[in-house]
Amino acid sequence: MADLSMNLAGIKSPNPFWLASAPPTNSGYQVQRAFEAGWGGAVWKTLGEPILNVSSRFAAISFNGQRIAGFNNIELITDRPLEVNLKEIYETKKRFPNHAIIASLMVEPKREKWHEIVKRVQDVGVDGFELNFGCPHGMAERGMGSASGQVPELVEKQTYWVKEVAEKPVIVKLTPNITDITATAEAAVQGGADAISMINTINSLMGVDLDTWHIIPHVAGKGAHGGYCGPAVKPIALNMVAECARHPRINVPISGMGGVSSWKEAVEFMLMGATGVQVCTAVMHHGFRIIEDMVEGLQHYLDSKGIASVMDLVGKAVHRYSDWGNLDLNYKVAARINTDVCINCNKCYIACEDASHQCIDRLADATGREYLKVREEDCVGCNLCSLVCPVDGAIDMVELPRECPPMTWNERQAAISALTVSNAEAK
Amino acid sequence: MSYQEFLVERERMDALLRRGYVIKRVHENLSGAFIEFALPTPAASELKQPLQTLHIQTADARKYVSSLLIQQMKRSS
Ligand SMILES: Cc1cc2nc3c(=O)[nH]c(=O)nc-3n(C[C@H](O)[C@H](O)[C@H](O)COP(=O)(O)O)c2cc1C
Ligand code: SF4
Ligand code: SF4
Repeated sequence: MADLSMNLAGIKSPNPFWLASAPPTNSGYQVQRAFEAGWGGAVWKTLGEPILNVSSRFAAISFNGQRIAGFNNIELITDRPLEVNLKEIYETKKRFPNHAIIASLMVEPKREKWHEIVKRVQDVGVDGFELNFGCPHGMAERGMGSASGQVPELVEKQTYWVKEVAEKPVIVKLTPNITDITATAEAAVQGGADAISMINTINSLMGVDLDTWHIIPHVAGKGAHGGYCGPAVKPIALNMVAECARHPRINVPISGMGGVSSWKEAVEFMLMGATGVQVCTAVMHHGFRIIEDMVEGLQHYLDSKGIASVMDLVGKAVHRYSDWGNLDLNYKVAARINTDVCINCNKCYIACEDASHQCIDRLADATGREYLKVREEDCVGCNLCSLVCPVDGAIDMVELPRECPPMTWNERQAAISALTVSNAEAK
Repeated sequence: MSYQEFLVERERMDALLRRGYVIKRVHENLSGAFIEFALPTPAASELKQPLQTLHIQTADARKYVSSLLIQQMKRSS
């Protein structure tokens, strides 16, 4: 059986699944039940000066029958006094000494404020800190959360202040509400972060009620932007993790999150460079018990691949993630329709005809039965038909034999400029 | 732009290559690529046309000519 235990910058946990800092980690009661259920670690609901929340805080997008495809909140950090949280952290750690408890922290960007909270929290025996530079609403208006997490200098400075007093590893949690997350990730590394985590929630407005014209969710008729998370954000989060993982100057471990709902997304995040994952929305949707399937699924996956330790997954696909200019322009795939499986719904035909390259022909055989056929030579291999096709296996995207050796855009441009230079020299 | 158009453009370039031309200059603009072919050592019969410029419009042919250029540069280096 593969070893699922994880070590992120010295923080150890029995498996790579942590609860993210959010409502499921609000109290000792919850975190202890989560550990009993099988979660490997928990990042406590962000500690700081207790806040006031509004009522009516969450909203979700249901898409085609899938509840909570995307989730949105306008909740702030903990609303409980620090002493209450610290007492429960202490008790939880005592009961579960081998599980990871990370304290998420957020205070004003002042050195003495960071020193005070770090010292008080580390006295109760947390395994590490996570600095919340990501909360996109409420706290940001007060200069905290994403307001300071969007400014690389502030990320670096605050990380440095925390590192001045922290005796446990410091994870810096980054906001995705920035054009290039590697800028703030690098600032965190410069400030001495032991690890980074991402993503916090993405600025969002969930909708407007068509009858009342209220913002969704509304608070007595008014709304404010919230933070988006859940399955819909996974591709955004995965890209951010991968961009950091492949960045030469970001050389600290990454805790990945954003839309992790099963062991499969966890494997993806780890392959793209994350050392373990955190989960919020999936637990808010289905409860702590989903951990059983996550652990079992990961175990089976590793065993079936003959991988001895989950840590062996970390970063294994990062080298495959490159820039567009390094992709092979001479690689070709084309769609092939399997007429024995196809139900003749014509979705692929319409997609190709209206939105791609008009290369699916509607033909009839000798008996008059209609079938579809791709003109492979005109197919650009965009994948659209196979994406809209409702029947598994009805369309295969097949690799075509090579006609020319591999050639990237960068190689092509280099060859053209070399030609220009040699012409100039020849004059 | 169809595969047939690509085949026509490819053939026009291949024909020049068969006659000993090499790619001399690649100029790209909003209309596609203008490829200047030249005879490295003009044979007597070709002297009237030592340079030939083809306007290449299909994406596949523009890929193809870049592959040809890379091969040509590899051969001459
Ligand atoms: C209701 C709610 C409250 C949250 N509160 C916090 C918080 O206090 N501190 C924090 O760092 N992140 C907070 N988050 C963000 C999550 O920790 C996590 O970064 C985000 O939800 C992405 O993960 P997911 O897609 O698994 O939900 C909150 C998220 C939700 C949905
Ligand atoms: S892959 Fe794209 S171009 Fe090819 S048949 Fe499908 S939709 Fe058309
Ligand atoms: S979309 Fe799929 S099932 Fe429908 S016609 Fe095309 S190949 Fe057949």
